[in-house]
Amino acid sequence: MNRSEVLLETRNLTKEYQLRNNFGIRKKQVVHAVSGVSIEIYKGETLSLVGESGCGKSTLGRLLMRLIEPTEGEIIFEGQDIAGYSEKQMNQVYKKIQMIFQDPYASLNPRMRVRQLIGEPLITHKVCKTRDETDKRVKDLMHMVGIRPELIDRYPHQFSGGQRQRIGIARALALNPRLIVCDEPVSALDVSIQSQILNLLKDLQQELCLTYLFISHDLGVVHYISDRICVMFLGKVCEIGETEEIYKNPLHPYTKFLLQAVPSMNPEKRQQREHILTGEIPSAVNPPSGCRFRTRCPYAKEICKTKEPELKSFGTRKAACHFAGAG
Amino acid sequence: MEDALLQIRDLHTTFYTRDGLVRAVDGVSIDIAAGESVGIVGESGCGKSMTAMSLMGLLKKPGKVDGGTILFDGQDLTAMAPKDKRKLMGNRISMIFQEPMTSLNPVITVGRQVQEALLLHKREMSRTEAKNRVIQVFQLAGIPDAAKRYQEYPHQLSGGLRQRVMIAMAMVCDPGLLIADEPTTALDVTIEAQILHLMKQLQEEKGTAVMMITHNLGVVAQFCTRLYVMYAGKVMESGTVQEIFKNVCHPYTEGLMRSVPDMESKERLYNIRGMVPSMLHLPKGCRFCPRCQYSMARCFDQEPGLYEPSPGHFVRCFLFEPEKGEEKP
Repeated sequence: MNRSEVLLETRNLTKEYQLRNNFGIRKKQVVHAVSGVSIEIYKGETLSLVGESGCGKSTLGRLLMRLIEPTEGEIIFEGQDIAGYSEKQMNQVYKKIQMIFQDPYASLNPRMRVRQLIGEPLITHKVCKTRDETDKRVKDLMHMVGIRPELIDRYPHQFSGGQRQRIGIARALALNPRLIVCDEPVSALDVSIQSQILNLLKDLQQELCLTYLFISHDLGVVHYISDRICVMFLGKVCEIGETEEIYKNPLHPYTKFLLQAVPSMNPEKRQQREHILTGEIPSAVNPPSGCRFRTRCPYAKEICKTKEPELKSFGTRKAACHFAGAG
Repeated sequence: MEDALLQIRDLHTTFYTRDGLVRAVDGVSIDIAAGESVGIVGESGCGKSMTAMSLMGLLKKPGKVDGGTILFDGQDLTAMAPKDKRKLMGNRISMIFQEPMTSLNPVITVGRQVQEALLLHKREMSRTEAKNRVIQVFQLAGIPDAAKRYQEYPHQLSGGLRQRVMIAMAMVCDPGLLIADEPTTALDVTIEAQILHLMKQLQEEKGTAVMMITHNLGVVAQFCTRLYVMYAGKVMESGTVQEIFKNVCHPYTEGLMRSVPDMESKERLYNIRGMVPSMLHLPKGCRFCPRCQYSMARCFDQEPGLYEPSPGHFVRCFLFEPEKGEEKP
């Protein structure tokens, strides 16, 4: 894989939500959903965003798609800053960035047939001129994701969850995008169906040279699918680097606890008590001063309270902890 | 098992729908000894929750238990009068539900909701005593500032805390059996680890038996001593966790284990082909055969019985049928 070419890059990307009271008047409080995130996505790789609920991983994914307007920062896609693009300009970008959503029941219009669902992007972007051309492309796409092309005139409710997710994937592939943002694409599915979809995503990536931004909270799934992972906590990046390296030797204490919290499939390896992270995720309205993880971190010292750790490089990896690499 | 606390024998639960009969639970037998933790594993629609609902008497119409016995402490729950059953539920048998958000009443403080169980089942207890007991259980369940939390409403608590309240509610009467229906599915991994640890601790201290219903094999490997794997309303495999994870027999269990990505290898995931059959149109013969990689001709018209390849390990698959010669008369 060619790791030199950056497909998409964010610089200091920030999203803050203004809280309002019941009369719509601004309060002083702000929800810090994503705070100053700078990441790079290389061509042809799968970068996973991992973290617990409320860490800002989905917000970041949606920011890249401009489904949410960023408060600050740049989104550089193929050399162009798309953060300030108008809707018309974005329409051109959507040919190259597409998204797969979490809930296969809610993300497909129940009144549209598969023909329309998959064909819609082809028609709006004027890729296919005639009806026959559209139908042919839709059937090709259906074949590619493993749904029999004869089912082209069915409605979403006639399919199972796994098949609907396949339709969602076909829809995302319709315009031959470069980058697909996958927001928890398998977390609503059963184990046996989940593995089918994961394998399909991997095969499609090989076949079509796709780049994935894969958002998930399941560390097993993430290990399987990604080349690099980015661990987030409360709107900030904790650690980013090659999957194997991070799983073998996590530098940030949060990554370490996250990995240890996953119930192992090996009954011989029962969890030890000291490996359980205490406390809960702090509120994004009033994040702790300094390092945002410090209230849950058993290693927190005085400096963590006063100074915010920067994302420092350790070889191919980056981690945001004052004591990372110190052992 | 002779000394079992709970003995489910050949339980049948059927839904009489307009489109036909749905046998959600089709001849399930489960034993749970006192103080034991048993996992019930399967994908959605396999009947694992319905088994628990039948046990608790929470089935909604058109569902009905129409066969089998559920013996708890020697009493048959299926034949019991509703009045006697109410004395048992929430007291000797209690349940934790999956959604901590929807299973608490939003307009009553959490303390009172937990107290309700005590006031109903322990009539001799005064309100003050009950309140003190609830605060004590809150502390046991790891709720910080228990006295303050007692007066709070569910929306003021996070998901993890709400699940702790649910656990406190289930444990407040010191039940003999706790049914946990996907207790950690809606929670984050670090919170999940906390909750599992808490449940384990309470179980060891109080000697409560736990029936853990889950789709997560990792949770079973970490928490349970024995497990039952269900598929389309039937138990396909059962045995101790140690035995099944080391020496898996049923093709479905094997497929299930191999399709979960673990954090050690990056080998291509195994796919169980096809999908879970509709409960209205079950395949003839073995229910798993259309998806099974080892299926033989006879799997398509005969239903396999339960065979015992090693002591205590039962498998519903012809591959493990003892040879005719070996069979004892």
